[in-house]
Amino acid sequence: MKILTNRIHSLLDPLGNRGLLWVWVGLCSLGGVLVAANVDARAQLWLAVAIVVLLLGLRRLGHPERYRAFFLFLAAFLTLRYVYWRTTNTLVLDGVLDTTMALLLYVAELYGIVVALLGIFVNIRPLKRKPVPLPDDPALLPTVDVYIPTYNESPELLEVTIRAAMNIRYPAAKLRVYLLDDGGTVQKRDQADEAKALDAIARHKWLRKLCQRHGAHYISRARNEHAKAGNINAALKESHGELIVILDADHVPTVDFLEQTVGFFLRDEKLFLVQTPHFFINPDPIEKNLRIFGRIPSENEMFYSVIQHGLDFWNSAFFCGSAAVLRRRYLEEVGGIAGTSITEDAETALDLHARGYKSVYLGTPLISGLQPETFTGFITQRVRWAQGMVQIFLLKNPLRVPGLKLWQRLCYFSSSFFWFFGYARLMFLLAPLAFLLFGLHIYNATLDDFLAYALPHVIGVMLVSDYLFGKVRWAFVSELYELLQSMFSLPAIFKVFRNPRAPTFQVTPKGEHLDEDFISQLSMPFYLVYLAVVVGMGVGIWRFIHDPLERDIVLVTLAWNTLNLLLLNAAIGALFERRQRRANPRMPADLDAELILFGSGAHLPCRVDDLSASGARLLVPSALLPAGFGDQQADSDRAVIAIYNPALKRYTHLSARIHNARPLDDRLHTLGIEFADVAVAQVAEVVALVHGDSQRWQDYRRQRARKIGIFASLGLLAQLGVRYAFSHYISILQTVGTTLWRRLCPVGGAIRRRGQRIWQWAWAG
Amino acid sequence: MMKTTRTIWLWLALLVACSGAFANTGRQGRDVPLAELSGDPQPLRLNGAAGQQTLALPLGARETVKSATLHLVATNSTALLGERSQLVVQLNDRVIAQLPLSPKQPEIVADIRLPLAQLKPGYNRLTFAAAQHYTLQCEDPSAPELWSEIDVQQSTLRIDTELQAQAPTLDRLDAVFDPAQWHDRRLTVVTAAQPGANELGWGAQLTQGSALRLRYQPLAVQHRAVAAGHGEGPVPGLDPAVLGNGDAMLVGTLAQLKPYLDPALAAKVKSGFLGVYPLPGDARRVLLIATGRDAAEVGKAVAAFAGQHLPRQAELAVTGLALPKLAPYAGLLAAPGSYTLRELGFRTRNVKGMSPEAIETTLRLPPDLYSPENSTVGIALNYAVGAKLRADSVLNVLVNGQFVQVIPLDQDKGGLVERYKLEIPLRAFRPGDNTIAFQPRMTPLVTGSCQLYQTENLQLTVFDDSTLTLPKVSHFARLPDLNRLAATAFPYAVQADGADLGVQVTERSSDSIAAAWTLLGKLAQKHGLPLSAAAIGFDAPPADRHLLVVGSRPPAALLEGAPWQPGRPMQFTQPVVDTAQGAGWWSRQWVRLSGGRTAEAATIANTEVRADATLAGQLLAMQYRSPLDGDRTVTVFVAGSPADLARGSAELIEPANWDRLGDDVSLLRIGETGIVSQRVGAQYDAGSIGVTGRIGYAFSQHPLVWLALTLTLVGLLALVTVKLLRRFYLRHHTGVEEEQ
Repeated sequence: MKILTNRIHSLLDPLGNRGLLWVWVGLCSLGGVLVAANVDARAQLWLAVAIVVLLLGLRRLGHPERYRAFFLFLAAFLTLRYVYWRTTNTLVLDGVLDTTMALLLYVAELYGIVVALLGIFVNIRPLKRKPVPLPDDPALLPTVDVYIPTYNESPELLEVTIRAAMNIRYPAAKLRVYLLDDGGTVQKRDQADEAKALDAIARHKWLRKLCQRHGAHYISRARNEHAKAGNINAALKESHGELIVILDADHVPTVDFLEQTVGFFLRDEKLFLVQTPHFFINPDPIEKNLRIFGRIPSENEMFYSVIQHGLDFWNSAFFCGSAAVLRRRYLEEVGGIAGTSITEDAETALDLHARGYKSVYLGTPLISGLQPETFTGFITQRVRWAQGMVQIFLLKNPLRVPGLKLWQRLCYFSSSFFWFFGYARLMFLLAPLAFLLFGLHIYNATLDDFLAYALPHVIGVMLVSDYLFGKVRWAFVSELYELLQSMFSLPAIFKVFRNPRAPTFQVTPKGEHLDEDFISQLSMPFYLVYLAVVVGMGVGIWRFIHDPLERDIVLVTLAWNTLNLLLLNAAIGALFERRQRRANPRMPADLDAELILFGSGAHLPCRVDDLSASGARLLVPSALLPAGFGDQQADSDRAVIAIYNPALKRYTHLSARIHNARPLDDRLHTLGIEFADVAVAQVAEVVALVHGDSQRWQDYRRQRARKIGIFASLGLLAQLGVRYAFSHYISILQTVGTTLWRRLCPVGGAIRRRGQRIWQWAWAG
Repeated sequence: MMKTTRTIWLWLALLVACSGAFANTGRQGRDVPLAELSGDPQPLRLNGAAGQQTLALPLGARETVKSATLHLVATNSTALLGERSQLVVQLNDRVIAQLPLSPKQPEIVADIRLPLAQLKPGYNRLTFAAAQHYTLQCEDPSAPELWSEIDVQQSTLRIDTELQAQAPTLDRLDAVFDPAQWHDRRLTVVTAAQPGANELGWGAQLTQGSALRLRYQPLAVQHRAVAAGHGEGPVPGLDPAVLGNGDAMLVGTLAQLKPYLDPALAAKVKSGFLGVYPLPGDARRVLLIATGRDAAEVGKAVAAFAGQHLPRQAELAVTGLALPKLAPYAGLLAAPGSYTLRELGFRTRNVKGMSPEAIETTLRLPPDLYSPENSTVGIALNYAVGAKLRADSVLNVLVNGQFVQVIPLDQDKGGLVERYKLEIPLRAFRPGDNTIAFQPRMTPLVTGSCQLYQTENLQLTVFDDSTLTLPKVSHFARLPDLNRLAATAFPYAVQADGADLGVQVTERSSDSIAAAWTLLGKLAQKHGLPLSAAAIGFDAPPADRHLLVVGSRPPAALLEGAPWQPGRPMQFTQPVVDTAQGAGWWSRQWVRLSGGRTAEAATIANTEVRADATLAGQLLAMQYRSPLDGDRTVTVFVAGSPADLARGSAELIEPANWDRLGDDVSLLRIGETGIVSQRVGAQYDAGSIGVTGRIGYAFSQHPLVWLALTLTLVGLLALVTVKLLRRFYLRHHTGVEEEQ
């Protein structure tokens, strides 16, 4: 085998790039012949079985370069074979309804297949860079402006970000931090609504003071034009740094942010962007409501841990709006941040790539941010992304924009085309119902055909997904997130198609407090679909029993519908919003510390178990606690804590209040503490301690990145769905019961009183 | 004792004399088992309260029936109620006999004279209808004990017919060669004394013309050379003996025939000439004379005869003949597209009752039809169905007797249904003739004891504007395949006029010539058109044609690669599927799961017998790749002697033998029914299915090869891709440090 491989290499090596590309094209053409070979279904079935078995075997070998391509191409072969068969054999264009539904489903499938194939292209060779070290001589470093655009975020949240930006290790003379306040513009301060105007004035003053307090610069403009892009562009005119760091208001940088990123700019003059991951320290509403935060990889990990690396290989990693460094010169060359779409970040990157400039993606998390707390906030954010990417698809179609290389076109096309998933997801939800409920024949195939073509394709796609993203995106999680978004992103996309320039920038609400559990106001469409799917299950079972000739089709459709039901269950569970009282989310930590109690003066060596900007949880050996510690402890007590601060590489001393102490087990007590001092120095220490250490974020990401397998993932989703959908429905029943009780109580009282009177009258004789 | 013996001899002499006289009068009597009429040796079963079965009783147009008696042997259920049960025999829907069905005497033997006036030329309907009951009260009409069976082996029809003497005309030759005729179909073709290629070709065309008029009935011809004698009528100079005792045809140029023809008739020949006359000495038979001043004119005359449609006159001067230019596969449903059933020869038909006869339509598909597994024939059926049928009513769809689809007739209100879509796998069809049958099974809404059964609503009409859509098909076949030859005349009839066919008769014996004509007649019947452009001769035919070799001494050059060669021991094999040994378990599972294909799939253990067997008393048919042209096929019909060949070919064309031709070698033992076929030689492919079709076919046959090729190609693609990616990396990311 090795001899044969060497022989092939010796034949291919002398070929130039073009020659090799022709060989590649020739092999693809031959592959097309094999794909289109009209072979009997039984032979097709056994070919597919053999390939699936081989894929399962290769999956165990991991990701060596040569196996990776082989694995992906084998799966692509199954998919292309399916597409050919699906196109030439299964389209029944008979009857208006059947035809319409058949074509809608076919287009949805084609969409999925194009996305899958583009995914293979993008991810075939991920590039995982190491940071480029900075020169020892500070004079060689470029000047950097850090922009923190804000619109309506709270000063408390902004203070952390500003402080963290000020904490960034970089020569002070070359670093300037700017708060770009769009909530306190002249336009806002002069608005007709007096209350709002007063709010804006107060905000303006507050934030100006806040900036002064921390040594940052406050910028506000006259009018709120072009949203975030306009805000940044306005700031470009008032600052002069060679590099621009853009941070969302809630994106708190680590102290080594510039140490890790600026080196790339020194090495490559044509570089316009270094993008880093968006790392979140709070759960998104779906993670929160299903209580899976920390148990499974975060939803955005797939993009930031895998896809951006893939895009980086093709010089197509794009700007994600924050946690990125841009070169001012190139930004100004294209007139600043682009504003044609509401995803100004990707659009700007597209413009600069088209001019031949380069981008870099560094996979180290260098900021920690917040995700929207409510499902409504989450949908607001995702609808903006969807609309923005579709705007790019329509207004600056990557396939047509001049200047891009072919591979960049494909990468951008992949990134924007992906956002049509709402259509496909909805079709996959409705297609089995079209058959089960209305008897529409939209997929002309027998069970044998399905087993020979469709099932291997589905397995192939799932194995590819598991192979590429298994550690960071468990099976069916994408489906769940897409399902939850589809009902809202699809109408939003239609709006873009109607008027591509209509969408406006909607700020994603973050840092919201939820005082009690409640059902999301966006649940109604899911109830309707859920009801239809449940009825579809019933009708399907009835058809299975009473229609023996169609049992094979009914069985396949029922299986499909069951998967939809499982996903819908999880979706319904995710729509039951859990309360969220903590403003500063706590993240796990494992740091050395020593607690000095003011009352007893005792020195308690301990470990920090979790940490937030406002406090920490400590693990203290029970034996070291003073006698009667738990009893004496009032609601709070003063203490000083010395915690090892990895970001600053020294101990940080903080004043704290102890809120509670509870035994954890026989050996340990947990102590909840709140940081007490609000002096700038202490805030700087706390922010550096809590948000400053990039290694901590890396460790946390690594810890969550694990594979559990396709079936285990499905099982988990099913279990979560049943559990939390049940809570959802119980909540509905409680609400209905309470409402009814309130309405019926007066009536019941009247009846009771009347009954008593009758009884008394009767008894009295 | 002496006296008794003499009496017997006298009776025998009388019988012989009578039979001779019987023969001379053209009368013929036959005892025909009903199985011959039903085409099935299984008894006719009459089930239920009103069971019914119908047989077709043919009668030739020039026959007069002198007597016809049905000898009926039947059995009925002993559970029947004698007072109410009876068997009715109908002829053309008129009752001709009623027989009680008694539980005490369940064996029925009856002789029923058929009323001769009811018998019409063509196909008569002989119906057996049983009224069967088990109680005087209300009953279940489908009770399983309500049955009678007619034994079609023992039941016979004794029919005594006589040929009519009449002045023949050319258009009435269809009545002479009538497939419904009971009388023997004897035909003698008389040619010049030294027949050459021309005579061979003319005789072949005359035979084919006759065989085509007989449609499916076998026609064995005899060949005679002219001989001078004292004849009558149009051939006063011809020895009457050469014309035989059946119908006869005399063919040759005027110069060849002039000595034997009536001078007045000879004087009429100024172009191609066809004349039909009563056979001298037997006015019930006919003599056809086909002649002309030269070979070309004779060719026109015989081609005109083969073309079948002739005017109502006894003599015809064929001055010109323009044969249509037919495309390959003409007359067959070969082009993809939609056809109305009317275009396929079907006419709107209505049926009534619970289990009426199936509504059938036929289509002729190309003999080398090849289609991938997923090809389907679409039918958009327009039909009307009665209202208030019970929900279990259905319209079964059968292709060549195999159930393939069903339409539920469950619409309470009945009505007209337009374009009901049916998809039938193309592989359910076979090359050549196919029958699509729509078999309604309609149940009354109200059934059960003591209920009035409304059956007048049980109606179904299939309209001839229904359409059949044929997918794109390829022309591709695995040869040799004598069965395909027998069913469709493939590969000789791809060109509609037989322009692909070369026939070599290996000796000039009349028997060999007759055998060749007989076989060509059969092939023409299977093809449906005369093979007028076939090259026929005694010498080696053109190499670029598919060859048909008939004779007892086929030339060695043509036997190269043949499965059997004269003078060499013949190998007989007894194939046994070996399930106990051979391939390993995994191989067997693969073969089983992948469809258990062909000989290489199951191990065949051949019992080989090598012996110096000769063909004496036998006729051997074999097919193989032509040694003259690798793209062509040779079929050889060879026997021990010319006489065996003539007798053997006459027997071979009987349906019982012809339909059993198969594989690449078939052996007929002359005088015995039945044929032995087996595969001896190598197989090869004929036709073209295009590159993709060929690939699909090959991969279907060899899925492991497909898998290996796929893996190899994907592996190569991966390798080249990795190489391209490395080059891309070097060009765009040199110096980039990566995480491990």
